[in-house]
This record gives sequence, C-alpha cells and structure tokens, in this order.
Amino acid sequence: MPEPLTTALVFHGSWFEGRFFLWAESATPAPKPRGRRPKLPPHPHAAPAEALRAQLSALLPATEWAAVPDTACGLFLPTRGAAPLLPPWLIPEAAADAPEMDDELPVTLAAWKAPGLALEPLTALDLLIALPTARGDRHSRRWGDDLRYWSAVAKFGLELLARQAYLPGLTETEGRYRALWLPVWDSPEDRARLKQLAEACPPVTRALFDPKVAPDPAQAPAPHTLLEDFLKQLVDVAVRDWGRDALDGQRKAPDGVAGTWWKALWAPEGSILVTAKERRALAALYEAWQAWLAQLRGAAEAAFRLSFRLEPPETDPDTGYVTKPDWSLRYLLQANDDPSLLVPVEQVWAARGGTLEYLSYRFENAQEHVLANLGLAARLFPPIKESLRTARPQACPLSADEAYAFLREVGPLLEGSGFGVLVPPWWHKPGARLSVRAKMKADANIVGKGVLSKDALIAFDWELALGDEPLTREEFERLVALKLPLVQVRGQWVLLQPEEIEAAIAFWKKQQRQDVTFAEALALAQGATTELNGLPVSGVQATGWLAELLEQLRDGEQLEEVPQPESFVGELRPYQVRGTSWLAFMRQWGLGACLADDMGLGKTIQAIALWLHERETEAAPVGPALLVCPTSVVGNWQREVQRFGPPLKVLVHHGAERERGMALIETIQAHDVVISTYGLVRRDVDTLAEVAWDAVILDEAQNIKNPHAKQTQAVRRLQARQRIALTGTPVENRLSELWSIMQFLNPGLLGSQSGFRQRFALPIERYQDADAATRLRGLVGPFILRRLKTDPTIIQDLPDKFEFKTYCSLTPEQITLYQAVVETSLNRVAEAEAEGESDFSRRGAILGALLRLKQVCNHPAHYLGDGSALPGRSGKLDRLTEMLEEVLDVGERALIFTQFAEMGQRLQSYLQTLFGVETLYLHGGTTPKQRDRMVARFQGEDGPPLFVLSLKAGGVGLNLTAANHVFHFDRWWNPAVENQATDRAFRIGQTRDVQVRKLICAGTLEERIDALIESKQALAESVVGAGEDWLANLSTAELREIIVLRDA
Amino acid sequence: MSRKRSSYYDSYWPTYEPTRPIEVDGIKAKSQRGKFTQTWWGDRWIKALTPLMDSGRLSRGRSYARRGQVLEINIKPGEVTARVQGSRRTPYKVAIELKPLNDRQWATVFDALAGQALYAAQLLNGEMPDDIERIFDQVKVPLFPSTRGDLGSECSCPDWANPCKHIAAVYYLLGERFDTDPFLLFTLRGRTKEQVAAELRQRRAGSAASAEALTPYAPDAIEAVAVAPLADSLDGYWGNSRALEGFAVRIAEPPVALALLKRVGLPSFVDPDHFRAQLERTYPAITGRALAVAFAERDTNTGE
Repeated sequence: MPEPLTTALVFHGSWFEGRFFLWAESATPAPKPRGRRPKLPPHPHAAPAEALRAQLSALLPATEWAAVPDTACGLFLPTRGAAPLLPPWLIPEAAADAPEMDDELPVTLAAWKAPGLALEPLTALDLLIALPTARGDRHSRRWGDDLRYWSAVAKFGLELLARQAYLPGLTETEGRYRALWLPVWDSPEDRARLKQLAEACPPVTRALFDPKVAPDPAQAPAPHTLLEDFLKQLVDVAVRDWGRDALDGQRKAPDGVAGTWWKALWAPEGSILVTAKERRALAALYEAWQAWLAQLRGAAEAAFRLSFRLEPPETDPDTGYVTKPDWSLRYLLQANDDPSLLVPVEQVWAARGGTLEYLSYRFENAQEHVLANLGLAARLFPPIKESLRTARPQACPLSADEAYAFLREVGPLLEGSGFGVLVPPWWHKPGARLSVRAKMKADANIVGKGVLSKDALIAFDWELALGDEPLTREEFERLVALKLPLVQVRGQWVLLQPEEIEAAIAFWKKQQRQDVTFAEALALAQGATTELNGLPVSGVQATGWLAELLEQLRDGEQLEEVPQPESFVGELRPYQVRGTSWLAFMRQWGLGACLADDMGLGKTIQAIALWLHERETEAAPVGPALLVCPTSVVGNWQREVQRFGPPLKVLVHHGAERERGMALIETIQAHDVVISTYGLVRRDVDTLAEVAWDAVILDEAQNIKNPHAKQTQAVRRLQARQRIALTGTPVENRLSELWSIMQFLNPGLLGSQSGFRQRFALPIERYQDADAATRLRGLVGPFILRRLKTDPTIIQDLPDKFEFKTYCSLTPEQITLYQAVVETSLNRVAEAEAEGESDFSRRGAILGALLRLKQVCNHPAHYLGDGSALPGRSGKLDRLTEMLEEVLDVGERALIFTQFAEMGQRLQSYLQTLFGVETLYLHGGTTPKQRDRMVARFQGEDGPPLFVLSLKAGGVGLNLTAANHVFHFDRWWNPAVENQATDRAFRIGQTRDVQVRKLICAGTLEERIDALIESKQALAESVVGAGEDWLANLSTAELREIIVLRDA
Repeated sequence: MSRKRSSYYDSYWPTYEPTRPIEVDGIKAKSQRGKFTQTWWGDRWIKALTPLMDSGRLSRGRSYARRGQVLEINIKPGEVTARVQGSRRTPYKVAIELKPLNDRQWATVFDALAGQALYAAQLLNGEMPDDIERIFDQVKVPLFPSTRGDLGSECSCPDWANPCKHIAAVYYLLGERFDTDPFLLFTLRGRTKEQVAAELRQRRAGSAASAEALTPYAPDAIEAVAVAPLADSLDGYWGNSRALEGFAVRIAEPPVALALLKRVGLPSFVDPDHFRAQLERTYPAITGRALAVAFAERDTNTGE
C-alpha cells in the first residue's frame, strides 16, 4: 500500500521574470506571521522553501535542490472568506470539521504571497519533463494541473531543440543589443500547436506578480507572451549551454562586430557591449541579420501556393521501356483551402491581366507571385534556377541523383518554406526500399518443452527484398552497379540508399542461416523489431508450429474452446469459458499469461476452472499449483476454491503455525492448490523454490510492480511449468509494472528493464509516442487477456446487479484483539447469566460484544478509538483500498457504506489522502441542505469519485446513480437494509452494471452470521425485522459458536 | 562642438570652405567602416563613381554619408534630389541624373528581361540578375554610369568641382539603397518598379501589380489568443487536463539536418566559412544533448 509522505504537498509553478517559480500548497499550515499585518498576506497553506527542497530531493534526486535559491512571489488566487481555496482532499480534517457555512461565501480573486524556489530554465526543464504523466500514477496528484501544462510547454521546447528549430539572432531593445538563439516555429503545425498551448494556458500561470509592487490583476501577462518568453529563454539558454563544448576551439572568431556578436552567442549571457564607434556597425549588422532571417519567409499567404510535383521518367505503357530518361519537377499552383485543386503553372503564364481566375478562385498578381516564389525556391534547389532561363517555366528536368536529393532533403526544406511538395506515392511506402524478409522455421520436437526454454531455438532464414519481390544476389549486384539512388525494378521505382547497400553487403557476408529465440521471433512477427542489421524488415514468414502459434497468439478467437470441467460447481459464463481456454492454450506452449479482466468478471473462477480442467484432462499426474496473493484475500480464495472446485485439495500456507522445510514440501505434494501470501513467499522462498510447481499464479499481480523488491525477486525464483498473473488494473498503462509482471511471466521477452524504459516506457509515458505504444502492444498483447465490463459482448452475459462477498483476512493485530474481546465478552455474558441478571442486561452484554467484534473486524483503531494510524493494520481496509484503486483507475465512482460514524469519518479522511481524490461523507449530522449539495456534486460531471455514507443517514431516499460500485464496509445483519442502501446506486437512471461487495472478515462472526442469514433466508426476511436485535436472543453456546475465531 | 568664430577670411575666400560642416542628424549610412555596400551591384555603383572624382572629395563624401550630413533623398524616375548639410546654415541642394533610356531602348531591355523568368524572379526577390549588364549592353546604354557624361549632377555648394563631396555623399547612400532594392537602379534610368513589373508581365501575357511591402519577419512570434481577465477566470483556474488533448510532441532528430540553415542560406554579415564550420558541429551536438535530456532517467522515485 502506498503511504502518503509525511506532509502532503501539491506543487505549482509558473514562469516569472526569467525564472520558473515553484511553490506548493501544503497540508500543514504555514507558521502565522508575527508582528504587524503585512500588506500582502502570506498564503496560509504555502509550504516553506525547505519543505519543497526536502520533498523534491526525494522525488527527483537527480537535481541538486540545495543549490536552487529561495524566493517569494505574489499570487492571485481564488479565495473564499479569508483563505485561498485548497484542493479539498489536501486537508481532510478541515473538510470534515469545518463549518460548511463557508460554502455560502462567494469566491473572489485575492492577492497572496507564497515562498518558493526560483529555477533556472534548464533546471525547470529537467523537472517538468520528468513529471509523471500516467493518470494511474500515485504521485501524479502531487503536481498541479498548472505544472502539467508547463510540462507540455517544456516538452515542446525540447522538441524545438532536438529538431534544430532555432537560428542565431540579434535583438535590439532601446539601443541595447543582445545576441541570442531564436526559436523558429514557422510551420503551420507548430503554429497550431502553439495556439493550442496559448489557449490551454491555465489562468493561475498568469497570476504571478512581484510582491514588492501593488498587486493589479489587470497587469497579468497574456498567455502568448508568457509562452513566447519561456520558450525563447529555454532555447537560448539550452543552445548556449549544450553547444558551447562542441565549438572548434582552434578556429579564431571573426573580426569586428560580427565577431563580437558571434562570441556573445556563446557567452553565458548574450549582451553585446560596443563602443560608440561600433554602434553603427552593429546597427548595420542587425539590419543585415533581419534581411537574412527574412529569407525564411514562406510563400503561403495567398489563395494559391506554389507546389512542386516530382514525376518519374516516362515509360511506354506497353513495353515498359523508359521513353524519357529524366525525372521531372513540375510547377503547379495548389489552392490553400483545397490541396487537391492543382493548377498547372502554364495557366498563370497564359492569363491575361494580372489575375488568374480558376473555377471560383481569383488570384491577384499571379505571375509575380509565381515568379517571386520560383526565385525563392531556386535558392534552395539550383535545378529550378536553370528552368527560369526560359520565359514561361513549367518544369525542370532532374537527374536521378537530383530526384533523390529532392525526395530526401529538398522536398522537406521547400515544405518548411511554405511550398507544396507532391512526391510519388511509393516514396512513403516501405516497399520502395531494400528490406529483409525473414523466414522462420521451428523444430517439430519442441512442443511440450515450453517455447521459452533456452534450447527452443528457431531456425531463421532471410532474404533480401526490393519492393515486393525477393532479390537474388546477382540482381542486387547488377542494381548496385548502376550507381543510381533510384532504380526501377519490374516496373516499380525503388530506392537504393548507400547506407542500405552497405548493410545489404554486410548481410550477404554473414551466414545466411542463424537461430533466434522465441522472444526474438515473436518480436519480428509482431512488428516490434522493425530493423535487422540496418535494414527494414518487410515481411515475416513462419512455418510449422510456430506459424500456428503466432496465428493463435494474434487472434484469440481461433482458440479451441475447452469444455467446462465436470467437477466445476456452477456454470461458467461464455467469456469465462474463453478465458479458461486461453489459459489452457498458453499452458500448452509453456507461455506465461496475464489475465487482466476488469474487477467483477471472475478471474478467480477462471483460475479454478483451469486447475480442474488440467486435472480432468491430463494423462500424467498434475503437480501442485501455488497461488500467491495479498494477505487480505487468502480467506476469499480458500472459500472460492471450496465452493467452485470442491475436489481440489487446498493448503493454506499462512500464519505462524505453518509448516516449513522438508515437512512443508511433503505436505505440498499431497495438495492440489497451495495458497500463500507475498510476504510468506519472500520468507519461505528457499523451501518453496525446491518444489516443482505445476503452476505459479500471482493474484493482484501489481504487488510485484517493483522489480527490485524482495518479494518480486522471490516469486521469480519459483520453478513452474506455467506462470499466470491475475490483475484487475489496466496493466498496459503502467509500464514499469508491466515490465515486472512480464519478466515474471516470460523472462527476457521484453529485454532488460533499462532497455525497456528507453525503448518503450519513457517514449510512451513522457511523450505519448504512438509508434512505440503500437510496437509494445504487438509485443505484450498476445500475453494479456483483458475484458472490460463495458464490452458489449461481455455485458450481454451479465446481470444488471452483481453481488459479491469479499472475504478478508485479519491481521495479527486484529487476531489478538479479536480473541481478547471474545474472551472477555463470553465471560461477561456468562457472568450475567450466572448472577441471574435481567434478560435486558444479558442482551445488552451480547449486543455490546457483537459491536466490539465488528469494530475489531473493521479496524483496530476503530475498536481502540485512539485515532491511531490506519495503514497496514486491517485486512478489510487493505482489501477495500485495493478494490477502490481499481475503481478509480478506470474512472468509475463508488459508494462506501458503514454503520459507524467514527469509522466513516476516518475512512473519508484516509481515502482522500491516500488517493488524492475528493471523498464525500454523509452522516447523521449532515444538514439536509449539505446533503442535497453533496448528492448534486456526486452526480455531476467530474464529481468526487468516492462517497462514504453512514448506513442510517444515507441508506434511504438518495439517488446516487453516478456510482456503479457499492461497498458495504461492515454488515448490518439485515439484508433488507443493506439492499435498500445498495439501491441508492442500483435504481432508475443507472446505465451501467452495478457491483455490490460485502466485505466479510473470514473466520469471524461476520462470516458466521452471514452464513446464518443465507441459510435462513426466510427468517432473515420475516423475523429479523429492521434491527439486529434477533441476535441478542442467541443462547450462550450459540453465541460462542458464532463469535469464536476459526481458522481463516 | 566648438567652432571658431567666423572671421574675415570666411567671406574673403568664397571658395574656401571650413572643413567642419554643421553637425546634423540626417540619414546615416549603415556601414560605418570598411565596405559601403553588400551586394555586387551596389559595389559596381560605388566603383563607377571612383574614376570620376579625386580621392579627397570621395573620402569626405563617404564620411559625410556616414555622419548623417545628408538630410533627405528623393528618388524619382530619372532624377534624384537631395539636401546636404554643409558648413553653411542653408543646406546645399543636390541633384543627380542618369541618362534615361528612350522607349525603344527600354523595349529592348524588357524583351531581354522577359525572355528569362529568372530575371523577374530574382528582381522580385531583391536580387539583381548576374548578367543584367549584358542586357543593357545590347542597347548601348550601361546600367551603371561609366563616363562623366552618364552622370549629370549639380550641387548648390560653392565648390568648383563636380561631383563634389556632397554629391558623393548622396551617391554613397544611393548605393546602400540599391543593395536592398535593385529596382531603384531602373528608376534612375526612368522606369519605376511598378512600370518594370507591368512591362514584364505584358510580355509574358498580362497588368497592374503592387509589390508586397517588406515587413520585418518574425518567425518566433506566437499568435495572440483572447483571454478573460483573471478575476473572471475562476472556473478552471488551475487548468484543465483536457485542454491539451491531442497535443503531442515528437522528440527526435530532424528529418533533414540543419534544415533552417539550409533554408536561410549562409549569411553575408559574418564569415560564412567560420559560421558554417562551427554550426555544423554545434547543431548535432545540441540535438544529442536534447535527446539525452529527453530520455534521461530522472523520475527514479515514482515507485514505493
């Protein structure tokens, strides 16, 4: 379970006067200022600079935070009453206790002062690009949306730097000159993105001001100014800092003011100091520089733009012979608002008067426009200049080398300058290049050993291909001898690039036949490996079992369905049959599988069905399976196996009394399924690793998300014929978790962790790299089966309301407390009986005992009432948070019912802090007005996702259909009352299936009373009435039977 | 500046002019040292003047041009008039005339210019075609003045020499103007830019044109967007994660290396070899650093 850092902070920041000002809201109030009230009030919840440094050093240790200077800044913030608004989840105490009267006051803008850090542009860059972007990241809420905005801006700046979108420049303000590196964003794509950034600019980023001047919100900078200033400074500083070392120190700087300018470009600061004499020369340099920069000026600001179409040499359609040897670059006008409208430039020359009219278009001064633009283009591509020696140029002939240069380099440059460029369609197709086609053949005898085993090598044959055709060595050499970059092979134009020719020659030199592992073969087949020794892969062909396996891995629909095991009690739903079949299929090939179905779709049942299936169908005896799960669900697993697969012999390897060493190994051999926990596997791994497991199954597999954690390394040591991971979190979105789980399932498939970070995790998480995401999906997709509740083919199978009993295990602390309470309670009831006290006091003693035991089941702190810390002490709370995490991950909302007001309040504050989402709490003390507002907010779009309700106050009358999950944290021993509460979500207006979970501590009175109600459904509905009093009529023996702790 | 009180000799020797003119803030040449012009045609213009003058007047004319003694210049077809501040209170009037081409001569020039689209293309981009002089040779009228007879000039100063330093100052400044607008040379020979463009168009097929005025190019400006005052922006004050949906960056090497430098060409105002050699080293190095920063492991503590 993630533990919140000691003091929760929410970081914010913005660009202000040449530095990035970073500050944070803190859960801890700032110390009250002493002395006279300052003009500008300090933000009452701003974190001091030291606290910022301390947390940043822990979160982003790569930066030397101690060296970042302190500062303070004025801020305009939305303010209610006498305090700026804070994220509601940041200060749960205030949210719970504060009189909600405040809500009535209007929110206004007020000026505050906050301490913070002043970051240099490059330090800010490091911070901003490293902000976690994944929505599921638990740390994500530490960073305000304003910082996320700046993160996008900083990444854009980094892109400019990487793709060399800047030029050396010179600025002049009030006679002072400064050399600088000027970003250039003159393409339509860049402008569109900058506009999007400017429009997305959060108001708070503009709300900074100098605390020494009188605050005036009207002075707030415009978004585009802010953006421009930040990006320019970032680019300028970065180029100086990163480029300086690459300069050739041997070269002498130029003379005169040009030299002064050049040196200032690389100095830490670009100011140019010149004598009065040099001032004129500098002014001239400035004008010359501007004229130089203006060469970038494109040509797009007209109804038509000049476009260039590259046309291959003409061939005779009958014979295929080239009739005109030259390539040709044709000049056309392209309508800006309709790129498909192309007007040959001949029409411009023929036009009478200066205006070209074409269809509904009018184009003034068309000839000058075209000529001026041809002149511009000619500077970039000399062959165009030659054509201008005729009176009415329409096209220019190009050699193959020039055509190649046009495709590779000139075309993009012309596009950059605003010209249209039309290239033959094959240019962008992979087929028009030299490539490698792989043929993979797998040995027949590998089946059964597991395809991932070391000796399961796959013979790998390859051939060179050009276009769609394989290329023999003779053909290749003949083509190379032509020494042309563009050649026609069997009627198709293809590209022969020098570096690819070299790669091909190197390829021939290598042995043609080699072996690859299954992981490598899969990466090739799934398109994750796109290059082989410098040549692109254009095709992969597999034969034998490999072909069959790859086909089935790609398309799960083709799987052979296994029948529902005979000994399975109940009926599997169709998608569960498919899931079981898939697991059986993966087992056949010895492949690890991750079943990642949404919560509520029955992963447990599918695993049980698989175990039964193996034991019913396999000829050889099947060894034991090890199920590893969090402590909180051990009881649940045990009960589910007993219920759905009674023939399976289950051993729970848990608790202090567990067996160890050889005795354990022997016991294990006598069982079908061994249930243990992550903690115990870590402790007993030396013994457990001795067992030849048939299968190792990890439930809640996100527990091994940290590959360096001891428990992760322990489970990896276990030997098994099959490895399965079960998880309900969207594992594909959490890439470090994904790697760790895949490394357990199919070691080596994703390569090393650092390689995986570089190839996939960073590009996808930081920069939303779609190509990398596609490649990754190809690679891991076959090993993950994830069905969503929202999938219509699944939903058909499901009832509208789905009720679960979720069994939780007690922690050792709870066990001790529970047993002590049982002891004293039974004694008191016995005493009451022995002393012949009234029936009333006996009943009171019984009800009191039940109450206290329920509290222990909920949480030791609930029973003790001491306000002590919550994490890690209650199996039930741990289970709840695990499930809520899945709910939040998929963006859904949940109701949590409890009958105890004090528990409700602690749950609210704990969940808010843990998940960083607002959590509502409705209790007996809530006024009708507050209640209505809470309900309206919860139901609203973007409403708080969690709602804790006391059963009594929230069980009736409310409409909370925004939730599709209902949790009964503790039980009211009366199904009617519980159902009524459930119906807050499950009622008219609900569009989704509702999952209802009743949390039950295994082995305790909760489980026993639940069973009692189940067995006496009639009693429950008639006799039980509305209360729990019926329990008070139990005899002492019955009571003992119910409350004594059984083996969980 | 302190000036000697005027003496008797000032009026006694009417041709003697004090060496120091009255200081004024007129049109100052951009080039304050070394070469006056940046283009080959500008150079040719200045060179044409050299044989027509003695070196003393020439250099004084240059320093007049640099000190801003020329108060104004008016360029009309066939004639340039200017006012130059000398040592007398009243500025001198200067006029420069180039022998204009007659209509027949112009027709020959336009025919030749229209014969190659390149000429018009270059002129429209502010470049004088390389072989322009050859075209003017055809009509036996040089584009640049070559003999004393080509250049008619007058000045109201008392100097007996023509061209005098005032004329030279104007002449230098004209050279600077030609640098940026080669059409002015045609104007001096009697045809404006508009007339030239119209003639050329007519010869290719076509009528009136207006040249786009050159405004400073700012490839680094961001389009302004409308924003509400802060006090009216309290909803979504901290931002909205959805506002950047669809926004993506691609941090990678450029498809074409040094693309901007290739588009903009090597500059004339700094040693191009040095410029190129150094930038060919720094640009790729900076790309390398940017990629390293982009994919550096920094968020090491996102886990437990």
